[in-house]
Order: sequence, then structure tokens, then C-alpha cells
Amino acid sequence: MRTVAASVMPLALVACPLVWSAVATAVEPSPDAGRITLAELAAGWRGTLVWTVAIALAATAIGWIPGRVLRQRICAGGGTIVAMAIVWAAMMPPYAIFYCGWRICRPGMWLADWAATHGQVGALRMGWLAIALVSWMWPVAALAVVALVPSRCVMRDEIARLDPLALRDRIRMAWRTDWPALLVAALVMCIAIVGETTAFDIARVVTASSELRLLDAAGATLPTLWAVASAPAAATLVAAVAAVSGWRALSMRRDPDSAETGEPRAYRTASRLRVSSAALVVLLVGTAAAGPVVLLSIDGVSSGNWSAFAVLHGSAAAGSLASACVGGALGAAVGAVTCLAALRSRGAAPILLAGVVWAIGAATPGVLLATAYEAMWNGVPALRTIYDSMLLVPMAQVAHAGLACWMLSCLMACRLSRDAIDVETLHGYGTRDLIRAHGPCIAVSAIGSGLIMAAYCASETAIASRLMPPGAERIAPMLMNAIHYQDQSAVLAALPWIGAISAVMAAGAVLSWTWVSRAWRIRIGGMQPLAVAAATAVAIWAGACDRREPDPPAAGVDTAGEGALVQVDPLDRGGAGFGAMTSDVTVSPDAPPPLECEQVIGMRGRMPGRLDYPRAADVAPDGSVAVIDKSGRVQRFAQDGSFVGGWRMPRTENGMPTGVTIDRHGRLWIADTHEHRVLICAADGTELGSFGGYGRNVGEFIYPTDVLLLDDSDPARCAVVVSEYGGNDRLQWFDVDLSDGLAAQARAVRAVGTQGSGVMQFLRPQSMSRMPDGSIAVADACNHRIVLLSSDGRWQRSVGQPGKELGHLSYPYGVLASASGELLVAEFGNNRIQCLDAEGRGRWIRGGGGRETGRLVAPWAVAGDASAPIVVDAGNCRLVRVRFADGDER
Amino acid sequence: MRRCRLDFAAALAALSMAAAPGCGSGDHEQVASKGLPPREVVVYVSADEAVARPILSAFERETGIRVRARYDTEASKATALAAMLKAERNAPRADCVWSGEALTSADLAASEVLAPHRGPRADRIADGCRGQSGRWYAFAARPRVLVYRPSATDPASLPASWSDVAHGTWMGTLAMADPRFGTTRGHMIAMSMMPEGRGEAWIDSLADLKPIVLAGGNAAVVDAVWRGEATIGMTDEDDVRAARAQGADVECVVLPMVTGGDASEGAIVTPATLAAVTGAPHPEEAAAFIEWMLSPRVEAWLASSRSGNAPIADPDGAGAVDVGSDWPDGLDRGDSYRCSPVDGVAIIDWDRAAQEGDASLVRFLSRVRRKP
Repeated sequence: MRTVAASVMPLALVACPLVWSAVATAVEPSPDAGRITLAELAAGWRGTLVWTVAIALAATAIGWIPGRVLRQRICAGGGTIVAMAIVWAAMMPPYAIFYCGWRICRPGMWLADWAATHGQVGALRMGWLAIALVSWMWPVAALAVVALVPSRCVMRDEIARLDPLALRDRIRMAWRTDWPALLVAALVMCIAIVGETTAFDIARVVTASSELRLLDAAGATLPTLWAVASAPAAATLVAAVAAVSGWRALSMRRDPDSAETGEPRAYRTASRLRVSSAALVVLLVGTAAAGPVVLLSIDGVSSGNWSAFAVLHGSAAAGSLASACVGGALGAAVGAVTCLAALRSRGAAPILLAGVVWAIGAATPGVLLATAYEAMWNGVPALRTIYDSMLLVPMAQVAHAGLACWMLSCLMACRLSRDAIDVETLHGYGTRDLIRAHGPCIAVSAIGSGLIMAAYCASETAIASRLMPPGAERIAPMLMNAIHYQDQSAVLAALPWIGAISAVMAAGAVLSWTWVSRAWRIRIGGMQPLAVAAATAVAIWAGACDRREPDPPAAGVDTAGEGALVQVDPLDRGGAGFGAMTSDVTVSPDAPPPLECEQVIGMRGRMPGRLDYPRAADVAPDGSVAVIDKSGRVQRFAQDGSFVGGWRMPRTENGMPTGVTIDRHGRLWIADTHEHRVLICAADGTELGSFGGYGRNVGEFIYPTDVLLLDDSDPARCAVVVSEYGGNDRLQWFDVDLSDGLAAQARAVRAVGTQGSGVMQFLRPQSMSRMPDGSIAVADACNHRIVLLSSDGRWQRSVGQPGKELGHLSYPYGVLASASGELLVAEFGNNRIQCLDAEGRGRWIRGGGGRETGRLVAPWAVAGDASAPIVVDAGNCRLVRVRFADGDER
Repeated sequence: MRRCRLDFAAALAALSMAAAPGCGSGDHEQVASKGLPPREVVVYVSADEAVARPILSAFERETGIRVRARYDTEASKATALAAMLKAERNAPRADCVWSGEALTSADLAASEVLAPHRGPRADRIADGCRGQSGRWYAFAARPRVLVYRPSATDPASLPASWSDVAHGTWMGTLAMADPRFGTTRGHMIAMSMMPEGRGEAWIDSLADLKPIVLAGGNAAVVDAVWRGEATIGMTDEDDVRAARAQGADVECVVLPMVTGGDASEGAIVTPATLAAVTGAPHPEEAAAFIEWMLSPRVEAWLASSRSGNAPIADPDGAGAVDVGSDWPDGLDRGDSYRCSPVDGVAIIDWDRAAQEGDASLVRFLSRVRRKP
């Protein structure tokens, strides 16, 4: 009876719905959807077959090497890290791997550009898809080589390695040992690849399974689906049954005694010599899967989306977890029952029947299985409670992937000595006796099966998206939708979750194996897996959270010691940079006192109301603040700091603006730096006009940095000054006529200054401010000085010199004149605000580098009323409204 | 019979007004009753999940009615939900449907899967914006556009109308989504219904171009054009906006159906629709949901969101809404990018299209798949 019990679950989960739907099909024949012919589908199946075989062969070949390496390391008493890396790679969804690679390989990257130039974009896309699928599948081959090759063969390998055989002979010998395991692995891979639809879907490759899913979506009836799916499903079934048979043959070859006693320790030395090659192999192969995913994951976490993701999709994550738990529990039950039955009578008919039924479930396309489930569970009124419950999706998923649990459990059972089982049979062991005698074996079957099913249920989409009840949410379908909708922020936020969950699951799998292996006195690695898993998860999160800002090289950062200022042009076109300085900022013992902050606006992130390295801000007449950050967003905050709204710059491909000024009519004058123009917008982002263009002539710009309003009393005509750099380091005066709608007419009046460090010369004039007497203060950033010009551009004087002392400046990026003629200077290089008196002498310093409120990291600008100015604390991704206490020396 | 106000330029003007925070009356009408015990409504949604989710949350928060939503994927969109609704016809789970396009709703209405709905807001909607017997109501439209890569294609060389797209110039360089699904299906059927045999001729000409038919929906079309796999593509404006937000070098133009035609053969605009399900388990909540969704405020939110739909149910009302004060949590605001509008919007009888259109699709697909 115990053996019969093993076939009850597959019959209930697989056979009943399929038979039910087949009967319904026969009773209620309905016309074909008529939108695709069988001949066309046959062509689709041929393509699918080519993909499947090619990927399975490639993954088998690649997985063979790390599999052998892992096997050797396990024999040597190690292998924990290698095992974890392999299991982790198997758990990463292929569509996520493809998406990450495809996003990285975008126009602008040399490979994508080359492909576009040579008409090879399609080939490149398919190449990425192949990499993703192989990255997903090769661990199957590796694990099969570890688990399915008899121990005596491993010993033979080691002995052979001591002999100086030629490489070809060694490969031949290895092949003789491993081919059955590789064959089983390849067949399992074929089943998995045929059933996969999401990765193919996203890669825009039409396969038979995806076509079947679309047929279902288009309203094809069950008979049509059956007709379309039956032939290929039969072929898949043959592969599945062959895999089962292969496993059975392997299990009969197993030498139980060596499994009981462990491997000879004499070969440890030889194995250890291959540690470096093991690391290399795993690193090389694992990087294909992990590299792009981790890169994009880190990007997602650093932009702060993960917390927003938790808020928006926390219920989906919880739903996935619940589904994984239910599926895991069902999988564990399948594993335990199968293992018990196999312990009692290995090779008995009910066990094989169960295997065949599970194989049918695996061979049935997910869509068809889901349709069958829907027909049965929604067709019978008494069963609709299940149809509306959380149980249905995991049930169908177990029906589809139960074959893996069955194989694992049978494998575990077959590792035990046939003689021992015969003795137990003679003594009439009951179920309790069996559990007591073989607890570890049954436990690892249950735990392993549970983990396999939990991982599968958490990431499967075809069945889940078809059968999920309303209101139920899952991460995987959400992720697939986000990929389709080009909602990259959601995808990036989801990736670290998937990576971390996969790491924990991989650790669980290896840990359970370790536990059982200990019970069998095989040394594998103690508690290391848990520690490594925890470290992996923490590394993913911590490394990502502490990621440096993706900014350009720090301008003038003191990297060589006291006073050794590095003259680096802080161009900001998206390279790596500021990070080295911004993240390592510490408050030195002689740091200036912090700023007294009245208000902190914004925080790091790309959600509305958050800031991603703000660089330009100004205060509107109504007290609200407009700020532009490096994501190209122009956001508005009310006087009380609450977020009002925002919009994006119309062009951001080349870079982001670094200057903005609001006139008395509420219009924004934006120095659209990398578009070499000045853009004039209404408060809601409506474009009112622009002027300028790339060039060195008067009236043209190279990297304009700021706009200073000289006269904006007439809404139709304004007099402005524009600063620029990039070779044009100068100031230009314009009369701008805005009376003609979108066509702003700008007449250049004069241009003042050239590039250099002398009189009437500038090096990156970054910002300007109007003095009470009408003169103009210019933050001459790379000359580390403030230049004072008359309102018509005549040189008056300059103040400041490079350094850290009071009165010295380091990359002054922002300048703001007060009513009394004092200057507040935002020093990008010194991470501080310095007040200069009307004569240019330093009065006080506030700020200093740091993350806490009152400290600054790479301040870019200071704006608004000088008595309570807004400081753009770029490196900390915030704005601070500064308060000056009574009696403050200012 | 009043016609649906599908004046696209006016809708866009209203849209830009709606996007401006601080203007308007700030009228926050709430249709749903307050103080009722917790209730629920089951909604099948084929609109963009990232946009729909925050709006459904706002409905929950304001009315206290719990929403159980069922979303579908971009690849199969409303068509898959329609198949599911038909499969569940004998034991419906859904109370109402928020579809991203009208054709599916018309199809479901013809099958009587959708039930007639009446309500204060629904009754105010023009005849052209509703299905027969009030089985569906249109709101928040988006135009079908031609996407191209400005760095590779001179805008001056682009076709002047959808009819011109089928010109041999674009042989093998036109990308489109699977015409069996979503807005592409509506687009194709709308074109195929042009009178005097022009529709059939267009279908044949387009098929003879051997267009690149992509799995993966309209977003895949934009991606293919951006990466140089295709020169031009038929897609939705919101997909172009989303791609541009990711840094894609693509632009789009709205085309009329025919060159030099009258206003009734102008731009093809696909409205979203709302409908109640026949035999819905929660009919009162479904009615409350539909009325709440048809408010100008929701259209204004959608107009300012990343999907950038043009308000059509009540463009004037939407233009007067201050969206800045109660913006739904988690709803991404869209950028200011818009395709240039054209004069006039094509008048499409979606109910008739649902009845007659699929034959032209079969014709198209069989012609495309035929070897040259």
C-alpha cells in the first residue's frame, strides 16, 4: 500500500485534470480558433527543437567541467562555495539574465552599435538569449555529474589522474564514466527549455510553447490546444521517460558501499591542487549569469528603488513567498512519500507508474496544464472553492515539475544498500521503523524536493499568470510585466530580491545536503554554507547600498595630501567619478562647525520627491524650490518642503543641466548644459523657448552653466547673462525677446572672457550672482576664486585662492550675494559653505564633509535668500535650508 | 446622436492643462459611498499594471471597497483576459473590466459577457464613447503612432498616413506587434474597415511588405526600431514615451488613416474602456467602481501619468482638475514628450469592428506567412 501511495499524488495532480479536459474536449468539440494552421505550428516546433537541442548540448558541455570539479572538491572534503555558486546560478531565472544582458548591450555600447551597423542585431539578441539559457541550464549538468555518477567511478578518475595520461585519453575516460549522467541531464534540460516561454517571449523569439500560450490567449478552444500540443508533448514525454529510464539504469549501477563509507582521503592532495581551476571555472561560467544581474541589481538598489519596490510590490513578494511555501510543502510531501515507497520496493511498478505520470506532467506544456486545471476546477461547482484559492497555482506547478522531486527522492533511496533494505524487508519494518532507520535519507528527499518546488513556484510565470486568482500577486509575473512595460526601475528593484532569495535557497539546499552527508559520515563542509549564504546576501545588499555615486572624477579633491589639489575638469557626462570622494568623506577633528539646517528637502532616490544627485536649484517668488538632478528631472518642492510635482527635461541623452534660475514671473531659465542651449520653461515644464546652440561664435555655447537675470521686469523681454565653459569659458550678455510664443529671439550683446587664469579669463565659470550694487559675482570654479565684474562685464577684481584655510577656496561652484554685499560660496572641493565679506575676506566656514545633517558632500549651488539660503548638497542627494543663529558671525 | 468628443488636439490641450499643478478647481468628488462596511470588487485589468495599480489603490483608500485585481501581460493584453472572461462565463469571478482598448470590450459585449451599466457619470458620456446598450464606456485614449529613430531616419521621409505606410518603400523594414492582440489588432481592423475596398487593399499591401511581426507587444516594436532592426514601427504613444524615459533615441508621429482624407479618417486613437460583467458577484461595487473611474480626476491622473492618455470622456472636466494636490501614491508622472497631433480623429465603430474584423486578420496573417 505504501508504494501505491506514491502514485496517488501524481494521479490526482496530473492525470485527473488532463483526463477531465480530454473528456470535456470529446464531449464538447468546438471549432478551431482558425488563426494558425498546424503546418505553421509544425514549423514553430522545428525551431523550438533546434533551440532546445542546441542549448541542451551547450549547457551539458559547459556544465560537465564544473560538475567534475565540484565532485573532486567534495571528495576532498570541500566544495561548499562551488556548490553554492552552481545552485545559485540554477535558481536565477533565464529571462532576468537575458534582460540584464540586453539592457547593458544597448545602442551606444560598441557591441550593439557594431551589430546595428552590420545588420546583426537579431543575431546579437539570439546570442544573448542563448547565453541566458545556457547560464540557467548548465548547473543541471554539473549537479547531475555530482549526484548521478557512482562513487567507484570517482575513485577510478582519481587513480587515472595519477597516471600521466594524454588529455585525449583522460577526456575519453571521463566521458565513459559520466555519459549516462550527462544524458539524463540533457534530457531534463530539453524538458525545461521546451516549457520555457518567458525568456523567449522577451527576446522576441517565437517558439511552439509561446505560440501555444498566445493561441490560448487568443481564445483557442481546448480541442485546438490539445491538437497543437499533443504531438510535441508526446515527443517531450519520450524524452522524459527516457530520462526516468536513464536514472533507473544509473541507480542500478550505483555502488552503495562507497557511498556509505565516503571517499578515500588519500586523493585529497590531488584534488586540492585543482582549487584554483575550480574557482576559475565557476567564476568564468557563473559570471555569464551573475555578472549582468548583479550589475543591474546594484544599480537598482543604489537608486533607492528597492524600498519603493517593497512598498509598491511588498504584497507581491509576500504572495510569491506564500506560493513558494505551499509549493514547497507539496513538493516535500511528494519527496517524502516517494522516498518512503522507493525504500520499500525500489523498481516496483507503482513507483515507475508514478514516474511516468510525473513525466507526463512535465511533458505537458504549462499552458495546456493550466487550461486543464481551469476546465476541471472551475467546471465543477463543488470544486470552485479550490479554484478561487491560493492552492490551485502551486498544485498545477507541482504537477508540472513533480518529476524533479520524484527523481531526487528515488535517487536518495537508491543510495542505500540493497542488502540493508532486504534485511529490513525480512524483519517486516513498518513505516515508523523505516523513518527511524532512514530519517536523513527521507529528510533530504523532502527538503530537497521542497526547495526545488519552492524555487520553481516562486519564479514560474506561464501557469501562475493563467491561474492566479484575482487579488493574488506574484513577483515573477509582475517582473515580466515590468519588463514588457519598460518599467526599468521596478525590474532593477526586483533583481536584488531575486538574487538574495536565490542565495538563501542555494544555501538551504547545500546545508540540507551537508546535514544528510554528515549523517552518512561524508565530510562536506559543516556549517559553512549558511555562513556563506548569509555573507552572500549581506554582500549583495550592503555592497549595493554603499555603492558610490556614478559621477565624474572629483574636481580638486585633495587625494594626495594637504594642499595637493588635483586639477581634474569635473565634466559630468555620466562617467565614474565623484564617488571616490563623496563616499569616503569623513569629518576630520578640525572640521568646521556644521550648518544649522532649518529644513532638509528630499532624499536619495528616483521616486517622485526624491533626488538623485541634484546640481541646480533656485527659489521661486512663491517660496517654492525647483531642483534639477542627474536623472534629468525638474522637481518642485513647496516652501514647507513637501513635494509638489515635476517633469523631465525634454532631452537628456547627452547629459543633464547644471544651472537653473527662476524669474519673477515663475519661468525657469535652464542652462541646458549638454544641449548647449538655454531652455525657458513654464513652471509646469511647458517649453516657452530656447536659444543658443553648439559653437564658439558669439551667441553660441559650449556647456552653458548658469543664467543670471539682469532685468526681468518685462515678461516679454529679459536681459540675461549666460556663463559657459568647455573651451568657451566666458560670459555672454543677451537680450531675449519672448513675445513670439515658442520662438525666443535672443540677441547676443557681448561676450566677455576667455579660457585661462588671468584677468578677464575663466576656468569653468560655474555660477553667478547679482551684487547689491549691480555688479556680478562669478564663481570661477577651476581658478578657485570669485570674480567680480561690473554689470556690463568690466573686470573689477577677484577674491580667493586655492586652499582649505579661511578665505581660501576649492572649486567654488555656487555663489550667492547677500543684501549687505557678503558672498556665500558653496565649495565643491572643500565640502563647505564659506562666507566672504564685501572685501573678499573669509568670515566663517560651515559644513565640512559628512553624511549627517549640517555636513555637506560636494555642494553644487547655493540659492534663494542669503539670510536663509538653500544649499544643494549634491553628494547627499538633498537640499538643505540653512538657518543662521543670532550672533552668528556673519 | 451625439458623437464622442474625439477631438484629439482638444484632448491634448486638456491634457496639458491637467498636467499643470495648481490650476483648476480642485474638485475632488467622491462617487462611492462612505461609511459602508468593507466590501470588495474584482477587476480584470489589461491596462498598464504600473499605472493601474496606484489608481486602484486610490479607489480602495477613498471608498473603502477592497479591490482584487487581475492583470495580464503586455504580450497578450486584453485578449487573454477576454478569453478568460468567456471561459468563466458560467461562474464569473470578475465584477468589472478595465481594458486597455475598446475592441475586446466590444467583442465581449457582443457575447453578452458584459452587462449594461447606468450611472450619473456613465449617462453623461456621449454615444460614440460607449458600447451598445451601455455595455462599455470609453475613456482615457492614446494614439497609435509611427515610431522611428531620428538619428537614422529623416522625418521628412516618413509616410504621411497609415495608407502610405503600406507603400513598397518600407519593404521589410516595418515592425509591428502581433496583430492578433491588443491595440495592434484594433489598428489593423480599423484600417481594414475603410470603405470602397480600400481597407482590403491596404491589408494586402501591408502583408506584401513582409513586415517584421514581433512577439512581445508594442514595446518590442519600439525596441526593434531603437536598435536598428527595423526602420519604422507601428506602436502606441505611451510605449514610445516609456522607451524615451529609458534613454532610447526614438521619436514618433501621429498619422491620419489616409493622406488628404477628411477629419473622420484622421488619427487612430484607442480608448481604454470600463465595463461591468454579466452575473458579477458584486454588482453594486462594480457600478461604484465604474462611476469612480469615469470621473474627470482619474482621466486627469492618467493624462499626467507615464501612459499620458488623452481625456475623452470629459476632457473639459479633466482639464480643470488640479492633479498636484492628491496625486496617487506610486503613480509615476510622465514627461512632457508628445507626438505631434494631427487634425481629426478617425471615427471607429468598435462594435462593428468586433463583429467583422477578424476575417481581415486571418487574411493578413495567412498572406504574411505565405512564402514569396
